[in-house]
Parts: sequence; C-alpha cells; structure tokens
Amino acid sequence: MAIEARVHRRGLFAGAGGALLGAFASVRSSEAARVPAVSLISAARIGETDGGVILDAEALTGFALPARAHALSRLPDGNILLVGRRPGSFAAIVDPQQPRAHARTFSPITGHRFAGHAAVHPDGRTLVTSEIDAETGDGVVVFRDLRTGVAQSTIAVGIEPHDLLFAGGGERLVVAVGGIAKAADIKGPPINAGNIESCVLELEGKTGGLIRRHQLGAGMKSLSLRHMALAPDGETVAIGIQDQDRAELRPLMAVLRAGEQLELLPLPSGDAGMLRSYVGSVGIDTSGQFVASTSPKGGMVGLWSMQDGLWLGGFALTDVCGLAADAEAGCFYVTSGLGDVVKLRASTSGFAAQSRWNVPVAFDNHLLKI
Amino acid sequence: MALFSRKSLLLLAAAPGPAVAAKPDPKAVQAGKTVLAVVDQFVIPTYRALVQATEVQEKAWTAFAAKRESGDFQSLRTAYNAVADAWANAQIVKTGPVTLFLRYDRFAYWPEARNATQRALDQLLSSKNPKDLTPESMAHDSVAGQGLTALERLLYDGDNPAAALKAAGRDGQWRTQVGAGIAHNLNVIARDLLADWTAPDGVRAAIAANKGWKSLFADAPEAARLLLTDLVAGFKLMHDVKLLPVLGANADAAKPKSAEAWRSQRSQRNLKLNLTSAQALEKVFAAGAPVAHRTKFDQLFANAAKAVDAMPADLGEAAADPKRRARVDAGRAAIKAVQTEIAATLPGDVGVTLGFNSLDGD
Repeated sequence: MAIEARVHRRGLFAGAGGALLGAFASVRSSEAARVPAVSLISAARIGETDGGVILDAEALTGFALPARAHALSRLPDGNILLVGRRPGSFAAIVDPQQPRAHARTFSPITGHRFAGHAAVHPDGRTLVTSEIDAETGDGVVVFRDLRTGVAQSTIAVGIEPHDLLFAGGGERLVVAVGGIAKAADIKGPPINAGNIESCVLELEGKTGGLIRRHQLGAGMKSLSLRHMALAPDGETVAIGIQDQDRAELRPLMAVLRAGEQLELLPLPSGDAGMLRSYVGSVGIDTSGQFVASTSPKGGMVGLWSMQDGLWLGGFALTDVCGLAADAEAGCFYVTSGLGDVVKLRASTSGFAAQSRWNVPVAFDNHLLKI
Repeated sequence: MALFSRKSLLLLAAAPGPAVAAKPDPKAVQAGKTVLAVVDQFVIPTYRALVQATEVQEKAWTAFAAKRESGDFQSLRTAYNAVADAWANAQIVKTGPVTLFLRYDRFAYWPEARNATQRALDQLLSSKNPKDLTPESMAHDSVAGQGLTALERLLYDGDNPAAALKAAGRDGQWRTQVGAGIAHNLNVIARDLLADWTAPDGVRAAIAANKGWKSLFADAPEAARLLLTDLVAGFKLMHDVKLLPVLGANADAAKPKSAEAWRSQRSQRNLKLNLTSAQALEKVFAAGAPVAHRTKFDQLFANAAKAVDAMPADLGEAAADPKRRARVDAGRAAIKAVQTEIAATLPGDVGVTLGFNSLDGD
C-alpha cells in the first residue's frame, strides 16, 4: 500500500471534483480581523461536494477530496493527513500552504476500510491507522512507514477500532475500540448494540504489544468508546462515548490517567440529557485544566474540570461537532455543520464565547488547529 | 453540479464579539404546532396499524401452533406481509420511543451484516429453551434474531418452509414455537411503542405541552426537527441503503441479495410503501407551506411513485439484469429528486434548521 506517486489534483479528481477545484480559489479577506487569527482545518461539505477547508486569518480555502473525510493529523513536515470517513477507502495528504495543488493518497490494507483516524508517532517515522475488515468487521491497527505509507505490521485489536493516539512520548499507543459490530461496508445497524465489547487498549508504542485493556462495567454494554484527546502532560487521555440505547442516561465522558483505570465523568448537571447520549469530538485545553466535548445531536459543547472531573457548564451551538484546543490556555475552537466557528473561553463557571464567525461550508466531524 | 463562485465563498463574518444566545425563533413556535399534527395524523396512526397487524400475526401463529401439522401455513405468510407493510410505513420514524431498548433494530434487523440473522436464528433454533423466547429475554439477545427479518427466514427460506414448521416431532414443534415467540415479541414491541407515544406521560403529551421527553428532546420544536430529520433520512434509507448497494456501479457489480426482504419478494413493495408514507408525512409537515412548494412536492412524489411502480418486483435481480436495470435506476433517480427538493425547501417551510453532523454519527 505504498503512497501513490504525487498526482496532480486535476488528474486525480477528474470530472465534477476537478471542475469544482476551479471554483475553489482562496478567498482573501480584506479585513484580517474578521477571521480567526489561527489556522483551522477540517473535513467539510461544500455545496454537494465532499472535501475540506482551511480557515485562517487570510482566507477560506476549500479543496476537494475523493469522498467524505473524518479526522485529521499533523505530519512532521507540516502537511496534514485526512483519513476517509468509515468505511473509508482513502487517506489524503494535503499541504496546507497549497491545499489545492497536489495530493498524495494511500489506501487501507487489502480487504479493509479506514475507520477515519490516524496517529503519528513522536519519532516522526511511524504512522498508525485504524482499519476494519470490510467483510467481517474485525479491526486492526496498521503500523505504516510515515514517509512511504507502506504498511509494516498489523495488530488485531477486536471489533471496530476508531480513534488512536500516542501517549508517554510514544511509549504507548492508546486505541479506542468502539466495539460496534457490523461489516464495514454495510450501513446497517450494529448487531450487538446492547452488548458492545468496547474498550480502550494501551499498546506498546513501537510493537503494538498489549499493555493494558480498559473496559466499562456492568450496565454499560450499550456504550461505545470512540474519540480521544491527549492532555498536555502527554499521559492523560480523555475519551468521548456514544450510547446506542436511549432508554436511560449513561456517562458520555471518561478520563484515563497513566497507570489507572477508566474514570467516568458525570453527566451535565441540570439537564443531564443535554448531550443526547452522543459525543462527537473531545478536546483538552493547553493548560490541562479543562476537557470539552461536542454533541451535534444535542447542539451542545460540554465542559468539565480535568482536575476533579466536575461538570462546569455547556455552550449551545446547533449541530456543533468540530473541536480543537487553541494555543491560549482555556480556549477552544468549535465548528458546526451550519458553518459556525466559535472561539470559546473556559473557566470554572463554564464557557464564554469570545468570537464567532460563519462561513458557507458544512464543517464535518473533526477540527484541527494547524 | 452547482459550482460555487468566488463571491459565494466570501466569509459571512459576523463581527467578533460575545455570542448571544439566540431568542426563540417564531418559526420554531410554529414548528412546535406542526409537529403535534405530525404526531396525531402520521406517527400515532402508523403505530396503531403496526399494533393491529402484529396482533393478527400473533393470533395466526397461535392458531397454527394449536394444530400445527394441518395448520394454515399461508395464513402465516399473509400475516407476515401485513406486518411488513405496516413496518414499511413506520420505518421512516427513528425518533422517540423506537430509540429505546434498541426497538428499531429489534423489530427488523436490516441491512444485515455478517449473516447475523441466520446465526442468531440458528442459535435460537438449537437452544430449545422456552425462556429464550420471552420478550424479556429477547430484549437482551441479538437484535438480529428476534424480528421481521428472522421471521421472513422461517417463512420463506429453504426448499419447503411449510414442511419444516409442520414436521412431526420436537424439531417442527420448536421451530413453530420460535416463530410464535418472534410474533409475540413483535407485538410487545409495537404495543410498547404505541403506549409510549400515547400514555398520559408519553411523547404526544410532552409535545402538546411543549416539554421534553426522557432526554430525547427538550421541547416541541426539537421534536419537529428530529421528525423532519427522519423524513430526510428516510430518503437516504431508500436511496443510499435500499438501492445504491443493490445497483452497484454496473449490472455485473449489482448485489441482488443486498435488497431488502428479497426472500419474500418485498423489495419493491417496501420501497413503494416507504415512499407513500414519506409523502403522507411530508403532507402534514407542508400543510402551511406555500402552494408552489406543495405543488412541486406533489409533482416529484408523483414522478417517483410512477417510477417505483415501474420497477420490477424482484428489483435486486433486475439490477443485475442489463435489460431491466434501467427501470431500477430510473426509480432511484426519481427518489433522489424528491429528496433533494424536500431537503432544500421543507425545513425552511416548517421553520426548522436541519444539521449536518447530527444527521448521522461516527
């Protein structure tokens, strides 16, 4: 599965996608203050076209992709990897300086589909992807050469691995195994919705050898552990959860501290159901004090204290899902499917919106600050 | 494809500053009123019909089991088809009590992954433990082995499904018990659904009072948004799930057995009923819409109905047949045309904004 030779985008995305690229010139804003003073990148739907957008102080730049993408990873050379949304058949490497110029893509291993996520080892040499057997739904973590994209080894991790990240400076690879059993190519319901074997795995960062397996307790078999964020300490991981059964309210956030067990965070106080049993993205601020998560189904961003796990408050934004910590302590950017971009400042009394913009694209699930 | 001009990509930037919580949109208030009509005129009658059909089906299985070896097998198929019709009418609704206890997937597990229905049914057929057939037990068992999809296999799979049910001895008797158990389970789920909608503290009462229900929604406008999302997603079900995988890129790549209910030859019929119920739902939502919008919806629905009527009943097989494939694809295109218009126009008419991320998750 070597990375395909660099292909000019017009050649790669011929037809409608190629035609669209002509319309996607960067749009320079005359007033820099009117756009965020950071660079944000996200998968997005632009009109009827699947692609991505880069939003920065100078421009909103759209680019086409072969299909809908999901999560993004920053590569050591500054390029951005976007992985196809489950069941994904492509991963694309985009140069944020010239997102429309060239793309390199690579494919899942034979018979598999991407689960939408990848992680880069801090040594800058290894890339890992979560992949699912299209026929059986069984999942693997694939270790790849970062430079060439070539798959080097695969580790079986159970049903439906989703998000993954390196912790401990690369000593540990943490994998959220969603546990939702269905063949990757079928847009059908999970077979085991009431009996999900979801877990978080801690694997050896270099070899993939199992260190620890963390599962939720009894009564939590409808929960799927799916998305994660790493704290600035490089060790602590926050995990976002989705519940497949709405019959009762169950926890939607967990924290895994080094050497400890999963710790469940409380549901929002007041309206405990405001996250609608669904968390789409997770982020920890650069001070490590705050953890946030987004619920598009609830139209809500939730905030908890990392120190004591307490619920601190929510911020309502319709169809919010993208979430990225800003460099400024306590601050996050969130994006919505309705084109909203909001900078939020967290405090122990909840969120305050600092700035808000709207652009004519539908931001997809995940957001990355470049 | 509509291309974006440079102008359209200009930032619609609001001045940076603290965001203010939006005041309730007057249109949202109207949406709340509309949704009560949707509940009264579409949702509750649809579930009531589902309860009636599942009751008849349960009785048919009970009667069959009482004199199994001379039982009326055709009555079971007739009852199954009536329930499948009622389910095709209800299949669009994915909001509310049907999201509790995995009821939606337990009623009809489809599309199937990894031959899950057969495996779950085989397990049930070999267990021979009556406790496995109670609704309480089924609520915690594989969603694949306890609903319409499993019942279809008992009634249509194999060389002689009637003989398998009528077979003398424990095997035939147990097989019949399994069928009767599933029929009972379906009736229990349908009754629970209707009760949750109609009880004094049920969903309808919550919507009428503009209140939330079990954290599924906070008020009537949110319920309106969810049910309208169901309508739009219903077209995705028809187009993206029921037709695209069956059609494949060409006749050679078609997958006839990815068609819904192909064993009972209901694939085209289910699609037609989905479309009919989608129109019934649209009509309630669009009651206050401009005449021009309603006229356009009517035209597109009429086109789609005609195209779906012209689809071969065995649409899966037809998709793989170069001579008949075009008729399946024409139906697909006509359904897509309704979807596009509904998604573009109806939310604004109703006073609801549909999300992108909230439509589906990952």
